[in-house]
Amino acid sequence: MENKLNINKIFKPYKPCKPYKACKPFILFFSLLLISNFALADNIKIAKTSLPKNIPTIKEKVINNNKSSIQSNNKPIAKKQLSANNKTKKLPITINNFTLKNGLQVIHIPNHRAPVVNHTIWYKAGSADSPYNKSGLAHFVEHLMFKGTTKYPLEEYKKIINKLGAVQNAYTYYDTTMYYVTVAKEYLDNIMELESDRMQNLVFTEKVIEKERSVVLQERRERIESNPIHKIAEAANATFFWLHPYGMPNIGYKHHIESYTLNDAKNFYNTWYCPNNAILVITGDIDLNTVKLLTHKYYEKIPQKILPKRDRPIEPEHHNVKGKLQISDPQINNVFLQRIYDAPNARTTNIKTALSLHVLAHILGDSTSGRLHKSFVEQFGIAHQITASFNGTFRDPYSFTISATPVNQSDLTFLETAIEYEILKLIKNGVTKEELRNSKNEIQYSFRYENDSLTSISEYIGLNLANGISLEDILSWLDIIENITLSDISKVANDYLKIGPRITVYTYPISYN
Amino acid sequence: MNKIFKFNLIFKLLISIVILCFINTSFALVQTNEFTTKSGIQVVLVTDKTTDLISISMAFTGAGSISDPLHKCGLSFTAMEMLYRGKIDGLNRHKRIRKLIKLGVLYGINLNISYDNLYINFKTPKENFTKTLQEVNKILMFRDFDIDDLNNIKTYIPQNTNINMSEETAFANKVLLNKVFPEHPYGNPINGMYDDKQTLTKTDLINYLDNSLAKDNLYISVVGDINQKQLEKVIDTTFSNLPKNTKLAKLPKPKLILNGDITTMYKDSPQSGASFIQDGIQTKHKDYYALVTLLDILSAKPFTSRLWYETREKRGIVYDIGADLQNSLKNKAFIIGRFKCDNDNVQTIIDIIRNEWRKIKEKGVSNQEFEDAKTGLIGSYALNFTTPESICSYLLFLKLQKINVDFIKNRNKKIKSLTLKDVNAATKYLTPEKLTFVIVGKPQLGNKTSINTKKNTNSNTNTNTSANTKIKTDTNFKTNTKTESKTKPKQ
Repeated sequence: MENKLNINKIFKPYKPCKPYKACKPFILFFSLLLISNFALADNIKIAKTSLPKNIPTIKEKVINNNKSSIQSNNKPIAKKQLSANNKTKKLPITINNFTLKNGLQVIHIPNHRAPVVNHTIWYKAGSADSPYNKSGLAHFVEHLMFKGTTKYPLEEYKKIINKLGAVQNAYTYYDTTMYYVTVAKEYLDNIMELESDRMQNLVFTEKVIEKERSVVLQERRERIESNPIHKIAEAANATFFWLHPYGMPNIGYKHHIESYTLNDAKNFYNTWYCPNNAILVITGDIDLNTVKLLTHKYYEKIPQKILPKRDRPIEPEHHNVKGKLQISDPQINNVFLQRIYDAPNARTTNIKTALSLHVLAHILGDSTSGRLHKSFVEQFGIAHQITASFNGTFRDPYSFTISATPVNQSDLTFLETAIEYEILKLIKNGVTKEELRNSKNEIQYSFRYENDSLTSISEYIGLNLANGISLEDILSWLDIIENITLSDISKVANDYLKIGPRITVYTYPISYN
Repeated sequence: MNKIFKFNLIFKLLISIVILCFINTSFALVQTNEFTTKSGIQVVLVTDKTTDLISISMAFTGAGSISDPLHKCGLSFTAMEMLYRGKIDGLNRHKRIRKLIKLGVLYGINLNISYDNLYINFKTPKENFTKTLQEVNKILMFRDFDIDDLNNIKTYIPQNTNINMSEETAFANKVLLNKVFPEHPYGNPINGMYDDKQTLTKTDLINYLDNSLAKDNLYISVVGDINQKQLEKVIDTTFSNLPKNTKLAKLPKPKLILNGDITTMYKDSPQSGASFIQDGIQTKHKDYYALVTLLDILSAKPFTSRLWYETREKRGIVYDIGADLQNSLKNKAFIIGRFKCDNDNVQTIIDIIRNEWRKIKEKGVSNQEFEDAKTGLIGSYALNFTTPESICSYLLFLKLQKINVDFIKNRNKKIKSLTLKDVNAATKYLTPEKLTFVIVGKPQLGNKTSINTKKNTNSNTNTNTSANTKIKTDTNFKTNTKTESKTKPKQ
């Protein structure tokens, strides 16, 4: 018996074939490829692209924090994961994550719906990092970031942004400051050049400082002093936090703003604005190779800095001291109640505890499906609205808050007692399986909505990373939430709500008797 | 043989490319598909397989507040509120919302009234698209309104809106439109007049809905993972019980009455809010893009416009200021602006605005300004397509303006083809002396022209600004009170 391999079966002899027949699939393939390029490019041939012409293949591997959730091959998520199954546990998202040699963390989330990209840079310094007698300095520096650098002075910078048709803005949070730009994808190169430049070369002049101080005061008057809701929030925070800078307004107090100097702004910028204190999130119609090339080109050369210890005043023990704050204002027309409880945060506590509090806030205080809403708004009709919220992703512990607007101003005390009763009932009897299931489903649906927008998903990932939560933790949230049990909910309710609110805020119109 | 083979290959490839280039009918930033269903409903679809949610925007044209009959100002708004907040099929609003949330429709089904149209917007997981659309139909076809519900809706004033009453600029905007459209429904507040609303009956609501909601005035835009065949079937099946034709009355064309004066309404507030207006041109006008480019330079673009520079950058007396071309009303376009500032600075800002208007009229714009604005308008166009909702909203806007969606691929060409001469010629549409202002607050003004102020700490304020205009305001300043588009598309 012959055991030789039949070579003709393995390798078919080459026969020249009719060109058209052989090439038909290739013609179709290349034609479709070219057509799709025309289709997308027809309206985006706005200017010459400044992307490098020859893009070599990146050989280094993507660093994945959570291999089970991060797609390492850059393909869109498989449809089966996005199916009707709302019990999807894993975060259905493609994320690429790498860090440059100078410490800049780069997150890339591809989305090819439209030829647009969003470039957001998160500096890990916010208003809570402002010097204690210069509240809001971080916000002031945010304003100054739009005033030009040595290479791109103010007018030049504005012209470029204008020419690119980019939409840009910035926000200062307590723990981070972010700068975002959304632009047609071929301008990502230009944007990175501008952003990397202003990370290191911002120019400070007395004239600009003076002008911008005036603008920030104007903003404070518009956003806080003319707005009763923000005035209440400012007073409530100042009462709740005895020492921690979360008790100061993000925008700063008026007398602090008036005292800002050039050196104050410069020192803050020089201390905190550097690549090893920043996270760059790029979402949109751009591939990983290009992101890597551009970040290497523009950001890698920026030297890192030695960062100071993020030494904030620590909130002291409160020794069960509880307070009541009463606020009246001529611009307020209604009675409003807030019960503010001490609560941990995701970064410094067990993540399951923080997420359980998140679910508890939803079950208790969702504006349409929450227990409190069903009882007080629908069943008894004693409140116009009642909600619960939990701020668990701040860098330091913040609060759990229940807010309500009574129907009749005279029902305030009754409403307070009723809320207390409802919480004790929950602690004693727990929540139902249906409530827990509905809450989990809704949280999972909400992620699908976040993921549907370039800016939403960028903020979802960027803000939490900047607040000190690891990417691995963020990506495992849906998993953890899925595994939260009825007893987890009861436990956090007992641990954090049973003790009662540390501060209760009553807001009245001037006419209230 | 090989050379011939290669030549054939390249030749055929090139021919195929050339042929296919001319076949495709809609090169666009997004691939759009316009069609009319068998039952006559007009639809724009973008099939997007990258998302597992379907976004939808619907409009019933002519069903907005302009359809409110005389002495029934607020009928359309009240009807919309009943459908949005009232009990339908025995379920109150909260229960309806919870039902939708269980379907994954997290933001609910949103109904809005504008001056011209009734809008419905929602986003749903694609697996529940049909069920959600059926819920929409249930809402639109409901007529068995509860009388108690109606009475509550008529007197409903959202509490959180009361607490936010310091929105001077929004109030100034309302008053301004009332002043400049004295004889047309565009001058009435979208949410109606309190007294008129108290007289509304169930029959009024039913008549409004029966007359205003039909297949011939329904426009739908959809973005999501669904094809034309599937969508057409779902739409025709779901809305099969909508009447074929509307019975809306024709309205006279609106006339803008501009006196170039300043009206103030006293409000005890540390800052004043202001709104100002002049005439404009509509989207299909031949000079439309020239005027848009001009306004970009003058007042529309934050951070870089001349107005922004003069008031915020140079003087630091304002945080936000702008004026742009409002073109989403059916029969009227105008340039409308707003600002908020300290009471002391109001006159300064008014003077700056008029001065900038005059300056640009006399001297035009420079070539650099023109080129920068043009490039910016071209580059920013893609930002209309960043989210499914923005795509939906923009495509619906084009449909309502009777602009073919193929326009998307030509729009940038139109901007590119503009010349400096065109833009400077568009300054003829600017009328600095006719700029009409309304200020709400405690402004310190210089030369007042036509002002009749009344100190009144009550938020229900009546102010006569002319013999024929009575401005009656409600405390109900809801976010539903707005002009046509929710997010103004970048033109």
